Amino acid sequence: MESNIRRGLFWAALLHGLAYCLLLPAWMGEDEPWHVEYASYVVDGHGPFGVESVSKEKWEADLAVATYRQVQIQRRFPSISAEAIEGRQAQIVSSMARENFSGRVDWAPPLEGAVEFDSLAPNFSAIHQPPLYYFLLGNLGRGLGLDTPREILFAGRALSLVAFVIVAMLILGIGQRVFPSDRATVLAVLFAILLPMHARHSSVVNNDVLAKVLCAGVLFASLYATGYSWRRVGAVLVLSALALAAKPTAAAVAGVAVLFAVYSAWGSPLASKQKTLTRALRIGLPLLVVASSAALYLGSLDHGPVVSNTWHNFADRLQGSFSPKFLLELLGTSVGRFNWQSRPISPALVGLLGAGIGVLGVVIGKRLLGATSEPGRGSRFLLRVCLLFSLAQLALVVLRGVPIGRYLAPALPAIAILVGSLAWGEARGHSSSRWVIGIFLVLVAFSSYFLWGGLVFNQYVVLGA
Amino acid sequence: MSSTSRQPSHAAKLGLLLALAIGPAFLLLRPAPDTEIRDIPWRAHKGVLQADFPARQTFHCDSNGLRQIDVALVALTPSSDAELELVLWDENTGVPLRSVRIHGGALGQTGGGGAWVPFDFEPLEDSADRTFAFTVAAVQPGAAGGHFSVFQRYRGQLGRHVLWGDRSLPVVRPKGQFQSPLGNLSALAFAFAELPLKEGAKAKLRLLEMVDGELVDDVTVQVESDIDLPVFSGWFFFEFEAIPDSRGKTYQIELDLPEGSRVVGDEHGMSLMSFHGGAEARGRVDLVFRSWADRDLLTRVTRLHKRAGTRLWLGAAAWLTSILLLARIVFQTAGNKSEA
Repeated sequence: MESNIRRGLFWAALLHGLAYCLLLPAWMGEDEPWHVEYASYVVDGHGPFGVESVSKEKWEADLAVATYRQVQIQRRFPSISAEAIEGRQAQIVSSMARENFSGRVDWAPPLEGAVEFDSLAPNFSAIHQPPLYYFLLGNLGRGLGLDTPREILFAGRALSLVAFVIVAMLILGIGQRVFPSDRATVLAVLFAILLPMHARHSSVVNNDVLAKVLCAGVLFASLYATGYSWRRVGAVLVLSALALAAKPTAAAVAGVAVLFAVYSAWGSPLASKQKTLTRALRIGLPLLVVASSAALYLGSLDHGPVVSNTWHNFADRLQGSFSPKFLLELLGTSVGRFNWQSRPISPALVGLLGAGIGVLGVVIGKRLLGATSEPGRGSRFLLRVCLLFSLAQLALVVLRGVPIGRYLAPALPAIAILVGSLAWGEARGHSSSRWVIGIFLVLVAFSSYFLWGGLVFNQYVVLGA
Repeated sequence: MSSTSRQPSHAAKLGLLLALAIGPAFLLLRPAPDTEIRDIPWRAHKGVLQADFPARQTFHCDSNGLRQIDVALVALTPSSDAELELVLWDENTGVPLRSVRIHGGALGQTGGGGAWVPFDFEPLEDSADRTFAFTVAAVQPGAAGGHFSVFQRYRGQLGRHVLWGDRSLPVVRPKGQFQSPLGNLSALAFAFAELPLKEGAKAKLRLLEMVDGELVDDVTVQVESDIDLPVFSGWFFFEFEAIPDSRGKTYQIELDLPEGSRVVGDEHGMSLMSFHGGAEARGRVDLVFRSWADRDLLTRVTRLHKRAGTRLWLGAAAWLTSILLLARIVFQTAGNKSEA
């Protein structure tokens, strides 16, 4: 690929993300207040890695006099006083009130004079999330000498913009490894840049952003080079662990690590020259690490992304997840929602996009799973890894029973690569050129509608009284 | 890799222009309400609208050409021939300006969770920066007209919500207990099968704190509320100064109501909603409605600029440049002969 194309994609990603940063008002990324609050305590010098276990009696006694959120915060940061927590929440709520938060979010009560988050939404918090993202953002804020929550918010948004560009560049790298064609690579990258809900993440303070970068890193480390080396295995395992330390929804990435180990030690052309024992060791050790880490990790979670406490709960989740209501909500929140998800795009457009996604899914699946001589064996395997990763991520969301589109975010790099494959394989020449231009125009039209007819319209034109 | 490439076709260029224009077209041309009282979900309806007791709401209009008011209504009992009237008033002079009636099919969708019902009228050319009021009432008097209720919104955080019960309690001094789930308790709404309007009579609420099942001597809240409209099958709000430390506390509720009142509840007690938060304590109940006025393109752009500032134009420039960069790359790679 020519360097001017690579540079062009870099600048396009940066400018596209910057547009969202400029146009999304402060605090209008959903859950931003809780994420900023969490990071602000790290900015103050508290470490986010300790969680104090308390008895049920103490938990209930604390809840009688303090908010659920305050009790949770004091579990993670035992040295913070209730007054300090209330002071920080008052700062954040006051900043939100100045931004006319309740005029934009239809279910939000007025925040003038409110002193804690329960005035906005009771019993919500980010404090139970894994600590990596807050460690990074908090120490960034600490290093920059940030003081107010609003400053931390904008530092977080800058971090998200950087993450957005890194994801695009990692997809570019993966595409160059998987596809011998520039068209397919360009299609994958422009999909990742233009997909509106992903692009909006470039301006939102949220740990999903970090999970997405790390998952892209795992895919990159798994797919970028051929052959087996302990260094690559180590990189894949470390990045997988970091992804899980950013957000539990990144759990599917562990599967990528396993597939990588199996393929590079057993399935690749280079592997056949190795002794059986060596190959078994090369698969077995990473598997052992992934399995034991997963067991430890899932056991340590308060709210597992997959595992329910009881069979009854698990069955309930499954039953709910296969209902049309759940699937429509998942589709709706994946393609577009505004103002803390209180304002949807039109159901007709959601239906149309759902149908389009379905058709693309069938075409990609048929191309990858059907009998075909192209793409080559190695690349086809890599594309199948992406397909499995995407399906596993979808399965996680279904098993979790919470229909929120951004939980699919860790699989975005894999999905982008799959979309790129439409411009390669059996469709060559004019046909693949039409795929690229056609998908580009559809994405531009949707991006235009989403940003101006949706996001800007709802943020600045329609304000509740 | 060869850099030989074909120029993009005219169709592709035209497609790009159209795709770029979709969003700005929606932004500038899509109708948007002038004023909107939003609430999600709609939950507290005011009670059956009657001919002699219209529900009233004031609002400020920003633009000229006020032409329509949508009211959130719910049908409490089915009716095909009921009729409702909306009257628009000048709030300062008290002069009625417009009157519009709707009936039949227009009200047919208001069952279940309710629906927006549009009342459109001849536009008021000089409506900008004026304060108006509107009233909504049934046209037919008595039971024949009373089928619909209008939703109201209380500006506070919902705490406890004991759903509309299955029985009415015909007592004028009902008592109950309530545990506040949140701090800053600032209002309680009760469900009434009937709360009659009587000369000089008020609805009174007393809250007494309880500790370990025993009443604390001091009365925490004592409030008397005027009954502006008789309530039939609706929610009535008592607003008071917020109680900052109400979280987790149990209160005895004592109501003192006009003769003939019937509170709704179930076997556990009264149906109620608690609201919390904020510094303002009074006057936070509004009807759920939206008003529409004509807005020209210039007004829309001016408003956008006023609200978003320079970042609107910087964002537009960044977005457009990114798309044009991508277009260049796409047309270059798609037209690259070496890949064909």
